[in-house]
Amino acid sequence: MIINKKIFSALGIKDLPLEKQEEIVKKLEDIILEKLSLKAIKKLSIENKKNFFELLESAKPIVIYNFLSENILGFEKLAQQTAQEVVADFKK
Amino acid sequence: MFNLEMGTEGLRQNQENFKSDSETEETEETEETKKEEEKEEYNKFIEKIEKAEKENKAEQDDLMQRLSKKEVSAFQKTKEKIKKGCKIGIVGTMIVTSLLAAGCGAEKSQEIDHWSQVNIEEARETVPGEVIKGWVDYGLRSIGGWKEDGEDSLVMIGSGRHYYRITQENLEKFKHKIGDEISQFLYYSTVEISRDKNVTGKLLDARIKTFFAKYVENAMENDMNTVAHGFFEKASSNEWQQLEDYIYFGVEQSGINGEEDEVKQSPDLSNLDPTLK
Repeated sequence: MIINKKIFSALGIKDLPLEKQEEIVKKLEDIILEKLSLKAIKKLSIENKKNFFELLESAKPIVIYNFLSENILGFEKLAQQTAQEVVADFKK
Repeated sequence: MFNLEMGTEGLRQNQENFKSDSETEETEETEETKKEEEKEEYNKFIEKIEKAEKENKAEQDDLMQRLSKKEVSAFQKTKEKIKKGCKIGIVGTMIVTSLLAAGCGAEKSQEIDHWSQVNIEEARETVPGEVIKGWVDYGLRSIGGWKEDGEDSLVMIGSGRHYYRITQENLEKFKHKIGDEISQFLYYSTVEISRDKNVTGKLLDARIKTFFAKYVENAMENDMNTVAHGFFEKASSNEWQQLEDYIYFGVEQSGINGEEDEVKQSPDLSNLDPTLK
């Protein structure tokens, strides 16, 4: 999980039964990763986008990560921001 | 008198029974109310999640309209893989950021000075000053450990099937070794790539991230739900979680004040899980 258990209380879900907490966090994580995937693709240049879709089928996740990291300036910051946005929206 | 006593006793017993029944009912009612409240809370959270999912869906639809049919098909087929790639990025970045904040590789070859200084400065900006010191220790611990079999070797790429343990005794040695390892990696990369510092800086940045991302990949491939589970949580759970909180979720300072000391001081490693060997 990219969201750890300590954050459960910050999310306001600590009073729920543990399995429900984990279910919610898993869904949140999925939302973060999906959002990040979409944002990342949008940020690729036309040429890089073409290359990205060409490598997708045969590429391992690590190759996908490398590609995004090399071709999107500040990919890690984007990841951080996305995670923060999703969590902040959830906490509202 | 006897009868009266029996009567009183009986009455008392009845009262006790009644009281007990009524207490049971109250407990049941409380439990039911609690369950109802939990259900309401849960539904409230699920609504938020559904809202976020809908937003993602709208964003995805928007993106799909801008892609060719072939690209849409490739995206649909590999969506989960893309997400996994992004996950490697997120977790890998945590490790790298902590290492950079710890200053790994910064004091070695001149050739890599440009790269390391720039990135350390950048990394430091993201970290609250007061926890930097603690990061030197746990950032290093986060990427692995020291083999217990006496061989002086580090956890390296490709050795993801093995688990290691860091102890107080080998910690300093480990720090030194990993620092050397990173410096060497950076040095050879510099030689290999180019002498042009601008280009080298950018490429090395990507390459060092890949280097550590491989740890993440190994852990994921080894059937561990989280990298942290495999390498980090068991070794140094409080610190690792603190790191995650700071980098990714902006947990308010007030929310973690109580645990700040744990970051600053070396954790007690005596209770490490023996399965981490």
